[in-house]
Amino acid sequence: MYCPRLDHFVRFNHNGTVSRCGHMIAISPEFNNLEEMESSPWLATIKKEFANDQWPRECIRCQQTESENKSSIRLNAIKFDKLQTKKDYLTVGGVLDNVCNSACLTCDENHSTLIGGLKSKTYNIVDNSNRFWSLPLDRVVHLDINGGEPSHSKNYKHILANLPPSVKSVRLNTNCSTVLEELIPLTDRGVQVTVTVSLDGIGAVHDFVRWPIKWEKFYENLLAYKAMPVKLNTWTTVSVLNVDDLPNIISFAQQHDIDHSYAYLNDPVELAVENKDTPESLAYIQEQKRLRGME
Amino acid sequence: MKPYAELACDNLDLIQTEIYTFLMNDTELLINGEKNWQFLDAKKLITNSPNLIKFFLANKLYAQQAAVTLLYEDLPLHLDELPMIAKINIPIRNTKGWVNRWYELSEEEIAKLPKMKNQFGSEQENVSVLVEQELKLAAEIYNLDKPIVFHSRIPHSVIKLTPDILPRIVASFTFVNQPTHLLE
Repeated sequence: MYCPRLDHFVRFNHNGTVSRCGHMIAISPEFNNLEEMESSPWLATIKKEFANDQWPRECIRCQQTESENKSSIRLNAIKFDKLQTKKDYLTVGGVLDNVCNSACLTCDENHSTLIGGLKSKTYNIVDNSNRFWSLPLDRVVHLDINGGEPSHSKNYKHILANLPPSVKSVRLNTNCSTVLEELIPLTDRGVQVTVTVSLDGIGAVHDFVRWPIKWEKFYENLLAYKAMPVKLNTWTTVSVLNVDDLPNIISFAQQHDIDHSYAYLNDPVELAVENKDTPESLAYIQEQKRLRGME
Repeated sequence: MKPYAELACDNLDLIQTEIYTFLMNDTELLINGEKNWQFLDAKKLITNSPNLIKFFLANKLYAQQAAVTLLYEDLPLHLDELPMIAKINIPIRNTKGWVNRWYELSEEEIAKLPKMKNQFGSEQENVSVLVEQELKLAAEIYNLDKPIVFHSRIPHSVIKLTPDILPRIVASFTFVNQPTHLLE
């Protein structure tokens, strides 16, 4: 048993550290740089466990989905790995910056400068873009952009405009508040682009969860992406705010023939579905509304 | 907690059709003659079953795992794996001619049972050392025809009586918020 991610994935965290795989659970350590991670005893132990057909504790999510659905990030990584010709290729993911024009109620200042600005005049701006440029770029074959909001970030736009020739595919998350025109030259040159649109509600539910992005604009831009030569899919982070809208969300995606999947939110715990209508959850929502002037 | 409780469901026939269609179109379980407990892709099933998700949301339940039990023969006495203790079963097809039984066994008695590895590699109590006929019956359901929430940590079995058609197909669900309150 093995997982190609142990050799080929580098994830940037919002605090500037790197991790091996964003799908590992929180006990996986963070490192100052790629070299430190690749030479770490921790990584050697994980690889040894896989070689002995044991699931490392860090990899419990893949272990679970493989036993339930016979699918996992690891199995997807194996499929991807088989298509690679570069022996030492890298796929890069995570948070390169947190510049964002949205203050989603489920998000925080580490992933959105708009939330940071609402909370304090001296908010944190994450900028890991220099760390990206310091990677061995000729090894990078895939870029997975989480944001912040890539369409609102100069750093991400600069990376997309100057993408190393070795990069053959890009996947990015977007709030769909605008269309990222910078993707067109990439598709023109044969880069495979996947756009994952956060679809956290329909109409008024969207406008509440994804404040201050407006549904009408979101919908217009979603249709624009649908007309572009990109692979388009939608993703719902299911929380107390939108769980009752999930049937509408699924139906919307089906009506528009757009791939859709979802996962339950874990953090902040007050918005996790199992805490729906608890006093803690209601108080948390109230505080978020106050912060955004939504009352 | 009660061994089980029936749940009202206005659209059971629609839910049964949705799940059966999913089994036929999106899995090969029936074609391949698979047996016993089989996990399903819960997200895919939910996405393809609008009446099922509405039923769960009406009960404020948020589905986590989905599985189907395909029975051609008895399902002997067993306990389900922790941490789940309350699950929902929905009859899909051919449940007439079978009986579900739950037996009384205290947590202390369960703790004393020898351990074994189940089919998924997890360690759990081995109830096969118990003689079903010697246990005290806690509850039974003949011809399961309604959704139930049931206590999966009470030893239980499914016994074939006189079914007309096989396999007996029952869908099982776990939830991020366990429905233990429905067993109070």
